[in-house]
Amino acid sequence: MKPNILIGPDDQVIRKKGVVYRILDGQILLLRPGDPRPFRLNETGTRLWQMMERPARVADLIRRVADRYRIDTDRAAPDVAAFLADLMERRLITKETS
Amino acid sequence: MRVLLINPPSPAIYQVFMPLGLASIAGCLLRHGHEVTVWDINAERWSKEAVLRRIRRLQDRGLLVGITSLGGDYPYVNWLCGSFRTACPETQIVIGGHLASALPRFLVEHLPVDFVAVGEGEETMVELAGALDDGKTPASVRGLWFRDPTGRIVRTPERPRLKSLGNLPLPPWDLFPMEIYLQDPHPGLGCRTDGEGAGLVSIMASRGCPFDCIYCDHTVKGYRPRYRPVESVLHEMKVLLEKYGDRIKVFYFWDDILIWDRRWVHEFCEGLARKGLRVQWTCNGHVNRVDRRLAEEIKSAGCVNIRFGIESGSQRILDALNKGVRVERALTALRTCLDAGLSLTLYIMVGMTGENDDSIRETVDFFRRLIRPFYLSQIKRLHFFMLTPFVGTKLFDRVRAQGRVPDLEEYLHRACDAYYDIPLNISGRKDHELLRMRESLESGILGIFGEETNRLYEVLFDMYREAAVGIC
Repeated sequence: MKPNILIGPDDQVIRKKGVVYRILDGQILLLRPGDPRPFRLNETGTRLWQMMERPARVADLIRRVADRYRIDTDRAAPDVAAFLADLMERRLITKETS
Repeated sequence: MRVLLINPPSPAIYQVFMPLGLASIAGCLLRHGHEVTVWDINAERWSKEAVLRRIRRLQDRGLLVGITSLGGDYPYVNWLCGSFRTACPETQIVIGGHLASALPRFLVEHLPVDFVAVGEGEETMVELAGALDDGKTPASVRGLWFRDPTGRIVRTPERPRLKSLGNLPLPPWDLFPMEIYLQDPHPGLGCRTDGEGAGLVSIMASRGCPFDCIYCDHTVKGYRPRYRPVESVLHEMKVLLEKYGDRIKVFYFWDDILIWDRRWVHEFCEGLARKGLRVQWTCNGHVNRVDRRLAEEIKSAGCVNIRFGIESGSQRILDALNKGVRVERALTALRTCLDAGLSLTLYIMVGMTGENDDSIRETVDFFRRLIRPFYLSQIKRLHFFMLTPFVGTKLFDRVRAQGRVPDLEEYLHRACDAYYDIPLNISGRKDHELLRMRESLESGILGIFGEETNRLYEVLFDMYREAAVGIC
């Protein structure tokens, strides 16, 4: 099921406080406060997570992913937005107003 | 009477199971017409601030608070009792569980509690709630310690253990956060990292363990295994399946040694088949009780994993622990289980008096002799522990008699974590040597298995410790 959270290119996103994470075999393993279920990010997710240590503009994240995979930003945008919305729904990241 | 039952958060590890003792007490209280609420703080992971907010919202008059406790829970239980006393002064507080049974006098003297309940809590809690409801003196309730109005400590006659477990009610699951239990990943059974839970549900068919390992506490459940009737256990499993359906993946039997009584196990396996209960389950075993027939029978009846406290591969250390186990017997038993297709979860301990490089080497050798390549995937989890003399154990009594615990309260604040910390080093070696031996044991064994078996769990454990900051 797709998350219900809308996210736009001008939004800024950042990791939520209290989320515990580790890198295991090059992938991020996440644990959010009060939830024992670990959540593993794939390689791209791991890169995005690392970029969200400080507030990051969604458009910049899309561009970085597009550059990495040598694809158009139009192609990368829906996947990145869906991924970020999923993280937001899991309360792992939050939107920040600039 | 209104009764609030509380399960404190475990300081050492973040694996969430339904507290079955508390559930049994809750069922008994409900049966006798009391109103019961449960706070499973271990599962809910409420911060101390959140717990305080909840305490302040309580109507304290006519409320009995029952707190269960393990040996390592003292710091939290201390804080919890103090918080109730301050924010909810008219509440009556009773502490039960292993900590209470091990140190009743100490708790009455040191904690702001009204009662300490020793031994199995079902009848004691029902009688205590009844007495308080009727305005009667608790002096008639067996198994209690408390102060009388003059401040004198009163100990009521000992309460015998329940003769039969067959009359205990089913756990009132609706009072407990079952969603959280079902969603826990339970790394010990092979962890999921896709955000889904292991679908594990706790159940207990017997109480008691006839072995006399010096690091184990028998104060609550005793030595003689007492079983529920097979039909009662099968009924509980059936009701659970009706309530939670295919979200239940594994029944986790908490019994000290489920396989102790062969006749019971045989009837149970037959009963599962007769009732068409095709379920998966896991239980504790003991190497002295395993043979091929048993291993194959439980495997055919749905047992997928069996947990063994191996502790050491050194006969000298096993004898010092009073395990009652021969190394060769342990090897044969584990191979028998693996040959039958059962997966294993194994517990290993380091730090007994006399532990040295030879005993560590013997333990690594034990695993080297056990493991053949086709077994590797069947070893689900290896747990490494520092031997910790927890209160209530013969080991603790011994080290205390030796004068090695000069300040009990200070010790109780330290002896919470048996994974990494060394609350009391009894090995006869220096701390740094003990830590080196542990490291050499772990790397030696994991080197045989391939580190994948344990690495995920170790990382998760580390994360859970960080996530627990502010809770415990």
